[in-house]
Order: sequence, then structure tokens, then C-alpha cells
Amino acid sequence: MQNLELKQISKVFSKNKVLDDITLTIPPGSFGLLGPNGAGKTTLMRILATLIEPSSGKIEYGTVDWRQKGNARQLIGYLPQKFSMYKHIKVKEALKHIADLKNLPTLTEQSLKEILNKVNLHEQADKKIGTLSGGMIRRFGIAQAIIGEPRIIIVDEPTAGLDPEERIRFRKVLRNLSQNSTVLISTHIVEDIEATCSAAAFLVDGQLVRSGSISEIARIAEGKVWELEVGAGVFYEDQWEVMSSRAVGDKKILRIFSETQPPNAISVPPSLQEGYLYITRNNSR
Amino acid sequence: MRTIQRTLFDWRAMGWNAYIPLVTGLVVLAYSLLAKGEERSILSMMEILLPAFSAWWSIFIFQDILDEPGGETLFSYPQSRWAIGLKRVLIFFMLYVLLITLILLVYSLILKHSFWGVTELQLIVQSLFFSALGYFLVVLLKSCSWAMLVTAAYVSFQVLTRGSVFPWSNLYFFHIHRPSGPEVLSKLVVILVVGLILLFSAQLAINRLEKFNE
Repeated sequence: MQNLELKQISKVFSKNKVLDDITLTIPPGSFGLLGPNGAGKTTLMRILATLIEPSSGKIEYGTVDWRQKGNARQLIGYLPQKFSMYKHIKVKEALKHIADLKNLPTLTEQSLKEILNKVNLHEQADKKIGTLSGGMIRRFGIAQAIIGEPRIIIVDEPTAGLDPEERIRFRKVLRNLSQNSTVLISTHIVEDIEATCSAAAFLVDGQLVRSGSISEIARIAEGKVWELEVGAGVFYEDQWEVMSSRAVGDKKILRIFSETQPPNAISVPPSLQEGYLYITRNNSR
Repeated sequence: MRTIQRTLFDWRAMGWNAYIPLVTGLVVLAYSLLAKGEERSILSMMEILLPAFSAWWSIFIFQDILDEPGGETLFSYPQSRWAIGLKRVLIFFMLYVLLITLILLVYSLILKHSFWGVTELQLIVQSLFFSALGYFLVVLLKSCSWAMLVTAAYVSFQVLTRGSVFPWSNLYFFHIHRPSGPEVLSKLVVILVVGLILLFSAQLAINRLEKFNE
């Protein structure tokens, strides 16, 4: 498998620069694109999905240049942030139709079964899409994206609106897919990236501010995350920026984000969430 | 074969909306058969209902693509935007022409009285205009409901005012007898040209579409 190369991608919508000179190498496996709302993630995903063209820059995967949309579309499977299509059609009929739209040979019952098994929808094959739950529709969305075994799967906000159980199931599906494809996941939910990706990039206000492995990104907040043991009834929210707290017996352990060491606190390795917060705070315009 | 299969899928994807123009056609036919001899009212009924409902299919074949969230997915498949847009509109317009022809055929077979020729041509050209208007509106508004409402408002306004307010925007003839060629030809050419402009404008808008419903 090859790298997906983005070179100096910019996008301007009526004088508003939404993406600014993004250069990024996306390796095979699962790759996260993190950033707050309005960072330009969805625009970048749509450019990668060939729905819109960049104002400048180029995208390449091996010898395929994204300016040749037909060739690029043979490589990609795309699931947008919200997905609700073909409500009156049964799951397997819709997948057969989508295979036809992707100019693939007619889906056999066996290959249909394999796709539906991958997304755990085999029991819903004969149900109309309009009768499926939100989580099942997301999984149908993934099913349509993986028809034809695309080398690049682009998923925008994959777990938005899903309940915890469905979220876990969906992450598992994405992890499995990343064994044979490049899976690009855009989200502002850090846990999704931690659970599925080995590397990620951060976008803030249309600019790429950081990219690397998950641990590298987390390390950016090294020396700024502390743990402090306090009594159960003590609140430090006014004094320190408490990220989380957990009860241990009759004590509480606070996780604090601070540039300086709080008294009696010990330095701890930062999580991706803390790296994310550090980056967004220090890069907001 | 592939086009037929895709058209059948588009038909089923519309759900009950696919059947509305057929039901309207049956209503027009039933009325025409019951009002035998009443040429004026039959012509009015046909002119008001038949062309307007050609917009129905050209709007609702875009429900999954432009109205529903996630319709953008279809633009990521290896399909040209012409195939997604204009081609499908023209296929469903041809089906609508077939429907009009069938209604007129059944009418002429039962009542031995036909509306072939100029009346049929008039209905087809007016239908093309409404198909194009529906396509244009649904691309512009990205909402089937709003596209239908604007179409219905246009029809209601013209019918209620008998085309007397803003006559330049009126495509109806309101004949009291079967029209002859010279009576309608020049206006039909204008309607056809406006229809074609709407069709191609809508297609250009779809070719350049960058904002999708979320």
C-alpha cells in the first residue's frame, strides 16, 4: 500500500480561506484528522472524496492524481458526516445498486454476505433502510463505502450521534478495515482517534498545526499534565484547570492541566485528549 | 439494460411519490371520460394538471441526492454529474410523455374523439417546461418540499389570474376549443426555449455544486 500525499492544498469559498496550504502524508492504516468544529476537516474530506476541487495544490496516491477524478473515484469509499439515503429500498438492493453505480460487476450473494458480515448487518439485509436504527444506518454507510474494496476509505465524524455500544462496534469495524486499506477518520471526538488510529493530524482554523503518531501528538503536552490526590469533598476547579477526577477509596485523584507544577502534584504522561487541548488552545486565532 | 435497471431503481427509491403523476393521469382521464363532449372543461383540466405534474418526478428523483443528508455520497461514485442530473431528468420526462400519450390514446379509443396533434404537442412542451422548472428549483433550493411549493404557487397564481397578471410569465393558453397550429406555435417556441434554458442552468449548477445538505 502507498501513502496518500496532499501537497499545498488550499480552498477558498467566496474570499473565505477554509484550508490554508495543507501538506500532509497519510500512511496506510487508520489515520485521524482532528480539529475543533469549523477547522476545515469536512472541506478537506470532501476534497479527498472528489466532491469539491481545491483552489490550489494537488493530491496523489501512487500514480493517481486527484485531478483525474474518475481514476481517484475508483480508489475511494466515502461516508459523510450525516447519511440517510434510499429509505424505501432494502439494504441488499441498495448495495447492489451502489455497486452498479461504482461500475463494478453485479454483486453476488456471497460478496454481499461478506460485506454485510463486515459491518454486522447481515440480519438486516432484507429490511428497508428507512426502518434501520441510526447506528445501523451508519454501518450501512460503511457498507456502501467498502463495496469494491477501495484502497482509501474516508469517514467523516463516524460516531457522531451513536450510543456508546454502537460507537464501540463502529470503531471495531473501522479498525478491521484499516488492516487492508487507508482509513481516514475525521472527527472532533478524541476517543475515536485513540481507539482506532495509529497516527493523526490536527487542523485548526484551516491550518495543519501538527501531525505524527498518537504518542508523539500526546507528548506535546508533556510537563503540563499533573495528578493531585485530594480529599473527596475538595474542589479545586477555581484554582486549577481540572481535566478529570476519579475516586480512589475516600480520596479523589484530579488530573490537572497547568503550565506550572501545582503544589504536591506529580507530573504524568499526557493523553491524546490533553495534547489536543494544548494544541487547540495555543493555535486558535 | 443498465439505464433501465437504474431507472427502475430511481422509481422505487421515490417510494409513493413515484405514483402521484400516475394517479393524476388517471384522474384526468376519468374526468375527461365523464365530461364527454365538454371540450372546454376537458382542455382546461388537461392543461392545468398534466404539465404541472411532470415536475413531480424531476423533483423527487433528487430527493436522495440533494434533499437528504448524505446525498453527496453519490457524487463520490465514478458517475458524471450529467448522468446524475440531466440524463435522469430527461429519462423521466420521456416517461411522462409516454404517460400523456397513453391518456390521450385511451381517451380517443373510448370516445372516438382525439386530442392528437397540436393539443398533444402543447401538453408535451408545457410538460418539458415544468420538468425543467422542477429540476431547476430542486437544485437551487436543495429541498423537494420547497421546490414543489414554488411550482404549486406558480400554477395557482397563473390559473387563478387566468394569466392576466404578469402575462409574460404565463405559459397557459386557457383554450375554449381545440387549438390550431398557428394559434399556439410562437408561444410554444418561447416556452420550449425557456424550458431548455432552465434545464441547462440547473445542470450547470449541479456541475458546480460544492455545498451539500448536512
